[in-house]
Amino acid sequence: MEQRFQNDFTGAPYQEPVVINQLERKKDGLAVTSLVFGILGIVFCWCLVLPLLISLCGFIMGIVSLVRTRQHTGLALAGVITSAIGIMLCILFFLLLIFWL
Amino acid sequence: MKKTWTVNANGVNHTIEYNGWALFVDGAKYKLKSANWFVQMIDYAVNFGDVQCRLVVIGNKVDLAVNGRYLGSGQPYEPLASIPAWVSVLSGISCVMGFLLNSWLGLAIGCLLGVLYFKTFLKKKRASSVIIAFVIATVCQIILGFGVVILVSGL
Repeated sequence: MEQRFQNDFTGAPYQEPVVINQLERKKDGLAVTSLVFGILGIVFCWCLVLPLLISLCGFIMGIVSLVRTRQHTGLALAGVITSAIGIMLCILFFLLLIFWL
Repeated sequence: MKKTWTVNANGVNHTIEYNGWALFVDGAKYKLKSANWFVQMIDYAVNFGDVQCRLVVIGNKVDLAVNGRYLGSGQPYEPLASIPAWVSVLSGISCVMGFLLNSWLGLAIGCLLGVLYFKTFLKKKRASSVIIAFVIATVCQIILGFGVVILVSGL
């Protein structure tokens, strides 16, 4: 407010600032996280419990991202697929461990 | 982390202030939203008529670009929207894998590496540089993880 009075005093016209988020269309956090969790679920599938949880989180996030936004479906779809593969690999390793023991 | 800049647009001084979670333009508050979950990534345009300002935050680095040039570094402005999604994926992998391998230390290193990937891509504009940085960083994280395991098992 003080700034505006000062500007009025100098006589220069005050221009209202226009603030825009340049990355508004790139807010694909859920889809990116889903893909990250899916990839890590596949890489660490031999660790059994933790990657299973990670893959499940990734799968849910991917589905939510697909349902909520129609944008970035490629990333979200990749996240869902990698997470599903991660879940399957985790279950496979779990079953192999049970049969092996 | 508080930073203030004064920008002169058509003879009028405007104050732009960044305090970590909000942007204040001439006292008016604007809530900031990061485009990335793992590394803070903010690119807000603040236009005063002909004068175009860009508040850019990557990780803990904050700078204001006025008419296409950063006030702090003097480098030309590069829009963060040009960074592809796979760089975000790599930074996310570094963060989460770092946490899984080396707990909070790994997460902190992963976040720093994420910033490095973004900056490398903005500077070199080449996928190969980012992938090489990612591979080296991943190998270092794994070595650190093994080091921590050996250290813990030896105690």
